[in-house]
Amino acid sequence: MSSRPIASPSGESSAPFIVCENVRKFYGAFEALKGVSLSAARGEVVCIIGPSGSGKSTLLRTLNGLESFDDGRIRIGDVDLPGTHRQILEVRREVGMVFQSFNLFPHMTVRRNVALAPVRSRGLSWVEANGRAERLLRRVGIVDQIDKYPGQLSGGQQQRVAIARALAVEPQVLLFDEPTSSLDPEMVQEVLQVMRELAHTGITMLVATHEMGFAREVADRVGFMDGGTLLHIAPPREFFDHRADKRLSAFLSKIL
Amino acid sequence: MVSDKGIARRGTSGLAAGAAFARSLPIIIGLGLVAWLAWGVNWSFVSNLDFTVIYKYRVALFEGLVNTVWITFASLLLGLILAIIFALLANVRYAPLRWIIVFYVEVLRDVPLVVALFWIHFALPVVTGISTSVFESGFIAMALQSSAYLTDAVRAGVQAIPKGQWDAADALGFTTARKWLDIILPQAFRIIIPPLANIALGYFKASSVLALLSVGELTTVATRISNYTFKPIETFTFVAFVYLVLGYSLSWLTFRLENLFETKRI
Amino acid sequence: MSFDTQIVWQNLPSLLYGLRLTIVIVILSLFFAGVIGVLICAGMLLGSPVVRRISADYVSIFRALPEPIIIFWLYYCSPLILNTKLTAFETGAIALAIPSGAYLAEIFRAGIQAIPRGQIEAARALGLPPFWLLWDVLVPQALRIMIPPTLGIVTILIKNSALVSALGVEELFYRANVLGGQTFHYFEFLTVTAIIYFMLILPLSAAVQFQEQRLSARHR
Repeated sequence: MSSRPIASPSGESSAPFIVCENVRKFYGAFEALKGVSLSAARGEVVCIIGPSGSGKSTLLRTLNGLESFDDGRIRIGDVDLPGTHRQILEVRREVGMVFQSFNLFPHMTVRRNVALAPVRSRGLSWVEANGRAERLLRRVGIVDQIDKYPGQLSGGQQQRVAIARALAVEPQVLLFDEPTSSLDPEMVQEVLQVMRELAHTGITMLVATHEMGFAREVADRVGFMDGGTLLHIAPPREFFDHRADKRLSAFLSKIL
Repeated sequence: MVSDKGIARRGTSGLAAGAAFARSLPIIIGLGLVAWLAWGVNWSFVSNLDFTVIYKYRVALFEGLVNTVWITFASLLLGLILAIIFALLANVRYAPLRWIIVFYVEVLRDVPLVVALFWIHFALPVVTGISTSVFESGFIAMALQSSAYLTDAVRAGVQAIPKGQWDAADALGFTTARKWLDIILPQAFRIIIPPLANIALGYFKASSVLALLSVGELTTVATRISNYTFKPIETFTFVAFVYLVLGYSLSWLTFRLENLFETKRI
Repeated sequence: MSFDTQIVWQNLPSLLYGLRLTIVIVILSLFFAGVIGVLICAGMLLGSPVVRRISADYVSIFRALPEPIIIFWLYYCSPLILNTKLTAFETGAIALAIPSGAYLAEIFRAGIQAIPRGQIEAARALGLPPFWLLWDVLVPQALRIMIPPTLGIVTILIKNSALVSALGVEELFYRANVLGGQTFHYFEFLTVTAIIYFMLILPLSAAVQFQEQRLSARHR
């Protein structure tokens, strides 16, 4: 890859960068997360698979404070969640997110979408931020659409802009919440290709996905969630070939 | 673990307090407003309330209500007939005619109903030499103005009919008149029922404007009773209540009607 | 029949003075209506269940009541109820603001709720501070949705402002009637007045129709 890595691991530290311990989350009486423990080291790529409604999204959303949790412990870098308002903002600068439905700002150009957060939360000037936006958009291959509005782009292009937007605040971690699930089939690969390249830059990635091929090829570890529990987590080869859990092998045989 | 939870709880309760304050702000402002208004009220009016005037003038009030309903219904009927004619004419190839219709619609939409009413009552006779009674003037003003809004609604309904329907009618060799009467208008009517109901509700409300010319509908009657008995609070509150109840019933009815047509279509 | 332009020219200053008062009362009641609209909208979205109920009732009641009833109610009843006597102008401005506030509250609510939740989440995930979240993401999108219907409310307000002539507020329509009565040239004055209202409202209603067409075209 010719482009410069955005976030590189600053020396291998033994302590994991993300730690969840026994995280529980209720929606009323419904328990969405039933005590999930998960940790990820700097630069690690963890894919989480599982049926819809299994709590993958909820787990990711607790990691950047979009969703509160009721019990357990989450630590991102050296910040504990749930923290003060200020600490949550701090965590969000370290933890970017890519959504299933892109959520680009429709009233701003692509350039402005990417440049906004660096200016508003990192204090860059518009000139600097626009330069950064241009570099990032070149990297995801849509620099030629820079002055268009999101509505004028295809789904795949929009999701690539969303990735550039998340990268623009130079986060340590990127959360992907089913990034290809609302894309037409022919656009899935262009997004996965960008994510594949990103995985080699040393950024920490947590990816909720249904793309088994991507998980097998790119992930350092793959986890399986069902019914609010992380049932099994292992390196991809072991995960896919040994199918340690009954529910996992049922799920895999359905989907593969 | 325990201490972490303590911190967590304190953090959230701080946020919760902020949120609770933000949520109670409208209440505080509202209570302040109510207190301010209550302070400016001369509460002795309550002991003077006497709702027997309503009973005493029930016949006059009922006649006023009948006039309101009658003038709304009749003027909308005429308005709808005019609107259908205009909507048909708007499809004519002769451009100046289309412009005239566009101009007519825009003028009547953009002039206040009272102004149209007074113009018809006081200015039009100068042109035509025929004077109209206040009731007739009110009827004409409402019919003309509603025809403008209804023309738009009918036109939108006609345009919403798929092109395939026109093609099918042409392919079957229908004459223009048959095509409109049998194919286009029946379908358009189903589409325009919701906007039609809205316009009807609007004119039920707007008929109250005719009181400025003392046309004799419900609001006129209310003004007369209030002036005669010096009981405006009772009279106008009661009449407001009548408008509300009737308006709500009407909108409930149209809602049911719409549902009926929805299910019929499927 | 002949149109006496002479008499219109002679009394044009008087008519234009009325027009000025029409514009003043419209702007004033629009301002009050905006305040009411923001408060009621906040009550509908953020309030406790009781406040929500009251706010929603305010909207549905004052949207259903005829404007003349509100105007007459305030005009005839306020002297009996209030310690202070309101002038006709004040009564008119308040009476016009009350229903417009209900319409505006509903427009504000719809505008805010039309913004997808994902927009707020994306902004929060990017770490935008609350002020910038409002300023960069919510306000521009909500305004775009609210502007056409708000212009529509302004046209309705201009039309309804003619009703306060019944209270003796010397706005445009009142002047037209007085001049018509004095000179027996109703035809001239009412026609000119209708043209003035038309010219006042036409640009607004054209803008609304243009905007609505553009919005619906984008949604298709």
